[in-house]
Amino acid sequence: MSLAVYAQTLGARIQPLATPQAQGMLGAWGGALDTALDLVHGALRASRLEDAPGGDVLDAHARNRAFLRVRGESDATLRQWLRGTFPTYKKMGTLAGLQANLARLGCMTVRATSALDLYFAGINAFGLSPGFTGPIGGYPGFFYVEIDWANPFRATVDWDGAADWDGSALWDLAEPYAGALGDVREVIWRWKPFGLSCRFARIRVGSTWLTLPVGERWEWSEGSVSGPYLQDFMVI
Amino acid sequence: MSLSDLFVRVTETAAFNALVGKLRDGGVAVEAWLSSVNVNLSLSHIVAELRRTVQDGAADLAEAVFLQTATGEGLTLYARSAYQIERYPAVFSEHLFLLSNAATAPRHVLAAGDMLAGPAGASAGLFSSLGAMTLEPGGYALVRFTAQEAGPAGNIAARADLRLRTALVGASISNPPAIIVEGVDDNGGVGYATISLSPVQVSHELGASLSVTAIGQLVRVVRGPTTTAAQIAVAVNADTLARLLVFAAAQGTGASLAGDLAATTLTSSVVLPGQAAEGDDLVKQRCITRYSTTGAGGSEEAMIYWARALPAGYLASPVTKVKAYSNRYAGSIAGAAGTILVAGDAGALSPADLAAVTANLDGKYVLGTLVSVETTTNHTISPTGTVYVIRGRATVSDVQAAVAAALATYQAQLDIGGQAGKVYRQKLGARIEDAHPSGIRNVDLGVPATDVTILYDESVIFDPSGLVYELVDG
Repeated sequence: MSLAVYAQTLGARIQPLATPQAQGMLGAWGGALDTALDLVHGALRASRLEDAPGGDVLDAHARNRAFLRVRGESDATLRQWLRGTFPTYKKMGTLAGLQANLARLGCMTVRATSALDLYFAGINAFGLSPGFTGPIGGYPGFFYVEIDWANPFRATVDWDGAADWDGSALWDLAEPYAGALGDVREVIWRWKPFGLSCRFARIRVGSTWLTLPVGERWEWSEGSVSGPYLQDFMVI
Repeated sequence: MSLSDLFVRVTETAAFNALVGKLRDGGVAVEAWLSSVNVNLSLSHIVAELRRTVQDGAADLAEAVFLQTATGEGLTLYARSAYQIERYPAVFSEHLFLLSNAATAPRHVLAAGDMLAGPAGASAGLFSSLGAMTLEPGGYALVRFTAQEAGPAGNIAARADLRLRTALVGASISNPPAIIVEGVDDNGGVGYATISLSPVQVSHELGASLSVTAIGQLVRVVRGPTTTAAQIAVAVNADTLARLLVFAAAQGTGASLAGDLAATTLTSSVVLPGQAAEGDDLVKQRCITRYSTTGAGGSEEAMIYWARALPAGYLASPVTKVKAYSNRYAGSIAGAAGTILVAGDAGALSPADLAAVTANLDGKYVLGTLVSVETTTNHTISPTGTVYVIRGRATVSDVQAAVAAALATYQAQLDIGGQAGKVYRQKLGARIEDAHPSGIRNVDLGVPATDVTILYDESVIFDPSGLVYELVDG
């Protein structure tokens, strides 16, 4: 029951407050306080993830947990994601963390292959050979990821057989929204371990695999992205 | 209900006007409330004020539970309750001031807190002494002082014109650019303190376990492993030439020699820089990055958190700027490696601060990763040019202070490496010009003549002393 109705109901039992004038006053006074109390209740609901309305209030909860809503993500999906904040963050710096966060972008099957994986498979990848330059020889901290099917990327109308970027859409694939490839890079940069570098991502589009250079955030922010192994683990 | 609905505040007047509208709608003859002591009118004002109080409280509550909107005390409480993070308090600066006593003056014996000092002509910005001391006739003493006001205002420049505010016959005080203090014993039991000397080379022996020698432009004090700073001060004060050396050093400038122990080479009288309370944005940065520290592997965000975490024995982290460069080592791309660059608002950290921050980061990254924690190199920009001050709108000293404050703010806002590797000349000029909008007509900026390139490992420091101020008639 609102305060306005409560005051009027109570007042109606007391003769001086039962007059139309008095009832009008009680209703207006109670209504003014109801307005404020509604906001108090709204603030309390907004402060709790479970009660919070959707939209920008839920976005603010996401920011509290250092997340942003993924493009097109529903309130229900975002709320469910935020319920798992701590289990998710426990995976930070691991392949499981990368997989969970890339899955949010629709990349449901993600594998990672490190220089050491390749080395023990008999491939001297990422310059992993004695005498190679680098603090401890070669680039043992390098890896790449494969984003297999299902993923949200599609072939473009300019499809030309998977040659590299040809001046149209990026690398012969169409993004589900502008900036989706940038989001893939951001997720990798944020969730990989510090000191290990994902050099590129191979993305499956139909029956073809396309390459997205990843590298490090600073390699991009300082202008030209010309670091080693951005296309292939054997090609510097 | 959206965020903007929750943050709506109302004044008592607006609440009252809305209430009067509702009263009219309810058939209440508010026009009859002519007297200012009308009971219903008064009650309506009380209700309006009650609504304002409750509604503002709701807005405060809503704003304080979201990082994107929380500020001030609300943010402090939310950071504490949700992230277990305490806002770093403001830090009182500490300096070593040099006291000298005239040869004909009496002996002064003083307890801690007995002395007050401050800039000449100023009633604020006072410092009080922290240590007990005896000042002999014709003697010198280094005394630790603390600012009475917390924050960067206590970071006075070298050679500031100081005055003792405590009457001590024959005594004077100065703030030398370099002084003898106790060095860190990290050289096989012998500690060094290096002080600058200008302009002559002098060599002088104080004894078997203590000597003062001049090397180039430097005076080096060598002490035995058990010699204390106080004993050095006593020995130096007892020796005429050593005293002169110290005095000369106090007046001079210089730089350390290659090979000197960096940890004990002091070129400033600042013992502890004053620091403002941690700003909202920096508190939020620690809140956001704290989640990442729970991860099984150390991530870039976790490195940022640990770089800004409170070092052991500190009241506040000296770090306000961090850049975590994964897979960058000695400037180049590297495997299983990284560089974490740290700086404070005043630029590069001292070796002691850097060591404390490095200790915070030890063991926080993946085993087998080579991580270098480094401080930045200061890139000083000394703008020159003329600032035209409109006569009658402001004084030159007001404008000078405003320009210094504006550049200090800009310096704190600039990240390591500047903005996209630059400090933009146009923006620098605008910051100077907007420092005192009503008092500054325009600025004719000479240097820098173009945008300044800032390297990835550099902090920008502004030195506004080269600006000239000229009064004009509008």
